[in-house]
Amino acid sequence: MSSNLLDIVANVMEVQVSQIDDESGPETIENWDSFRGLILFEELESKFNVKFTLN
Amino acid sequence: MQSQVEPNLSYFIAKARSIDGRSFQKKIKVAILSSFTINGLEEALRVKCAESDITCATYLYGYGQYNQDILDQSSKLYEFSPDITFMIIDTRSVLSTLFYTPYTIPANDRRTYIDKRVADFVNLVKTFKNRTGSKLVLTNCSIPTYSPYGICEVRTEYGLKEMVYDFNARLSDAFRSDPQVFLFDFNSFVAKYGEINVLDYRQFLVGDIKVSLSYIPHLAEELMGYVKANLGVNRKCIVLDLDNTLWGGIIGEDGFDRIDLSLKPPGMAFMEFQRVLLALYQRGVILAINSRNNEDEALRAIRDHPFMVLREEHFATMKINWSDKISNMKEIAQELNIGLDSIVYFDDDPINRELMSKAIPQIKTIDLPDDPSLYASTLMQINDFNTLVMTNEDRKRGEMYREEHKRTELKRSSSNLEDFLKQLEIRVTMKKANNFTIPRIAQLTLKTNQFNLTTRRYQEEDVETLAQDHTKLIGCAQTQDKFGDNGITGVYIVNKNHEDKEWFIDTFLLSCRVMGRGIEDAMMGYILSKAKEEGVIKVKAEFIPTKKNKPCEQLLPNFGFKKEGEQWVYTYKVPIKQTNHVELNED
Repeated sequence: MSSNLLDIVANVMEVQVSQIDDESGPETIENWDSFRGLILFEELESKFNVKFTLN
Repeated sequence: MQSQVEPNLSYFIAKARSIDGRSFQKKIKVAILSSFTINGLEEALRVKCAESDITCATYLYGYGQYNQDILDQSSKLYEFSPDITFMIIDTRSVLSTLFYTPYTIPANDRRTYIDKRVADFVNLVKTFKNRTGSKLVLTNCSIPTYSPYGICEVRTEYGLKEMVYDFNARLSDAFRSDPQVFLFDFNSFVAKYGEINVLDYRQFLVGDIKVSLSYIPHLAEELMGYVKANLGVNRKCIVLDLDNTLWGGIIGEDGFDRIDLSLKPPGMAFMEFQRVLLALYQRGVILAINSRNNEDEALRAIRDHPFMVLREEHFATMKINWSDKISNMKEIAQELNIGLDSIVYFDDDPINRELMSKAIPQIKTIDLPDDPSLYASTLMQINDFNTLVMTNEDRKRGEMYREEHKRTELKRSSSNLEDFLKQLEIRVTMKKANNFTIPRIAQLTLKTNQFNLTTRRYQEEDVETLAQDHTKLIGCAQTQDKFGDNGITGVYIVNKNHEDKEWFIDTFLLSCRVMGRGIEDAMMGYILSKAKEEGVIKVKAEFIPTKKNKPCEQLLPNFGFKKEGEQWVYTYKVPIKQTNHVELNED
């Protein structure tokens, strides 16, 4: 993952960048609840100009 | 319309953590009830409050739980005792399955359904009002844009859309003159940003979110209108530059015939901007000019240009000269007797804006876009002119400032202050608190900062309660002079203690517009005489100093009140100060 992406994830989940890796997700990060998950989607969509689907 | 730039919701979530614990003088408690998930709104409101120097405590209740929260007397809602409660409802939750399949039942049944839903909400609000003094801001519903009947929808009797129109209209009617309940036009909010943007189906399906996360900050911004108005934090005056702001081009270089101001572009953008300004003037926003120009050239354009919408009469004051804009601005505030923090400033020149925001940060300096086509919409995004009620004084404010200008002229031509006051022919009419005066009394207690002995704030409902209380005396002063009617400008509230033959002045205030003309003295004299008539031997008062109320510091000592501890006491040992140039009546 690029450092920019790591920064965004760390910022939204309120954890250190060093705690994030390719395996990070709701199972590994305590703060990663469904609301923060949606905020992360929104951040990524606006920063990288992409659209996610629900699948 | 150009939409305001708002940071992403993640900005507010992160920022909310960093401001927690910061404390400002102005405080508010906000409760949020909703029919769907609205996480993030709390944080956005708290951050926006902090940006306006307000400490905001929020409480978000479980979504879809608002019925229980309101009905249960011991609910967390009442325990929190909010100042404002936002209740955000959506069309799906109001219509239930009829939202999708409205035509499973005949028109009459659809009517009955809406009747019932309106009654449900009216009753719920009634219960809410019985249990708390909190203001309630209830949303209306967004009108569905889709109908299964397609183009035949409009031919259908009491169809899907009409159901929601009717529901909204009846909620408006129910609460139109309720001082505690306000209807937030959620339908307009959705229309402004577009239903296809505000409802993100993915978020709706995953989390029952009906205002997508990207639009939560915009919703918070609109709701801030109520928060600020409730605290009396609003701006009163728009100060405008001329060249490239009210018209295109430079009057001193291009000349009267060549400036851009016409019924076609590019001049039309400036007319459009002026039209929005005129409408704000008519709701009570004061307009003023601060421009570096030759006064005669600029005035000629203002007076005679065929496409000027705003004329000399609309401006409370005009500083058109070659002095620096910052000194001009300070003079404007002084002349109009308004705080610098109640000014909004429009200037096309980024350097001027930069200088102004550095020198006087309290002024809201608008980051005007380069393209004049966007001026009008930029102005329409400003959410700082709100008041919870509109009074006659608001609507006539512009006229009053024009009269004020004439007074200033008279003052200049008078040899001394006494002479000037005599010539003004001031008449003060003392009025009781009643249905006509209560909204204005509340408004004055909420807004008056300078000539206000105690700065106690009272909402309209509070004033109503006080007016019913026989141990209180509450009234107001209407002031007129030979130039016109200033409306209700003074308020007093007295606690009567008959046993000890003592009165206590809880509130005494005067609108800054009419300060320094002896009206305050006439009012105080009236209260002291009234007390004497009722056999009172001691009148107590307080002066609670704030950053702004220095102008009334001397009122009590000037009347012979003596300081005793925290209070000031008048015992009729010195005669009541007379104010001979003011004619006093009682209504």
